[in-house]
Amino acid sequence: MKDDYYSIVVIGERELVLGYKMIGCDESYNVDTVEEGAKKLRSIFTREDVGLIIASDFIRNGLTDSEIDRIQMSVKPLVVFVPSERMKGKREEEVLREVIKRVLGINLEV
Amino acid sequence: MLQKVKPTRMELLKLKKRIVIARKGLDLLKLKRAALIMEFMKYIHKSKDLREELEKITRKAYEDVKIAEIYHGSIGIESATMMVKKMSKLNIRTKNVMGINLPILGRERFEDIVNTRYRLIGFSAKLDQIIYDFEKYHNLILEIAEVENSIRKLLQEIEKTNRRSNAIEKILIPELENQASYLKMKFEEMERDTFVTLKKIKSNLQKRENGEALAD
Repeated sequence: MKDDYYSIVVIGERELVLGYKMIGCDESYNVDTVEEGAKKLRSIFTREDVGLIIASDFIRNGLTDSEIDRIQMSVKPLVVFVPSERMKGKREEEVLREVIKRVLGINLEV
Repeated sequence: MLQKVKPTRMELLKLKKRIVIARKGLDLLKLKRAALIMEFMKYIHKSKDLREELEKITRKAYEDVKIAEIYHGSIGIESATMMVKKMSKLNIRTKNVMGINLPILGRERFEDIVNTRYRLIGFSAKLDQIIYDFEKYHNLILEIAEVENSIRKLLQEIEKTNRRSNAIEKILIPELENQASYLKMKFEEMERDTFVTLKKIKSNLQKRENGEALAD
């Protein structure tokens, strides 16, 4: 199998960004507002060389539903929303639970 | 919705064959759905544990960053970040599960994110703690990325399979059966038609014979 290497980008709160910088992440953006984060995420999402985007989950509030769907289904890049502290976003578990309920018709504890 | 079919025996045979194939396809789709759900269940249990752990680690890691900021100031941390070894690039491969591409993230090169020997010399314990926390955090994130993306992909596929099997079960098969029964009715009708015609001809012939006999 062909091995491709991609870079990792972090977008989010200051603590997250600083922490990632400490483990040697080259590209990280500290964003403080939802709009700024959404804009950044959109522009990075389209880049070819990025393999993993780690974003604070408040950024999700600035995206439309179809955008979120598209972002979370893609493999290259993968996007992970991580819990943020200052601004509360919808937790990933809740979002996933809704999708499961729609598809399988049951309430699963995720 | 009845499609126009020619009332021939050939059409009926074709229809019957199509119904059999549709039934087979439906069974296959149902099997696929069951298999997908099994795969999905495997991931969903993992996902729950991972998210709980992430929540815990996040709180601790953020706390440690704040403490380090108090000690060194954000400039202190920033300058420390200049010294760390760059993170290696991420290797993404995909694995095929029933026609869906699920991601696999390479972890083989993550051992050397930061060289531990060098770390002890250059950094204070507070900064060291951040590195330790975020290494754990990052490994967890990789796993979560894999698992959650897989879950979403599987869900999407399950939804698609559902839609397809519903379409076959609730629309295609009833329609084909309708057509088949319509054809059968048509054939019976034609049979009765010919029967009656034959009877009529026979009686006509008989009448004519009787008439000729009388004339003789």
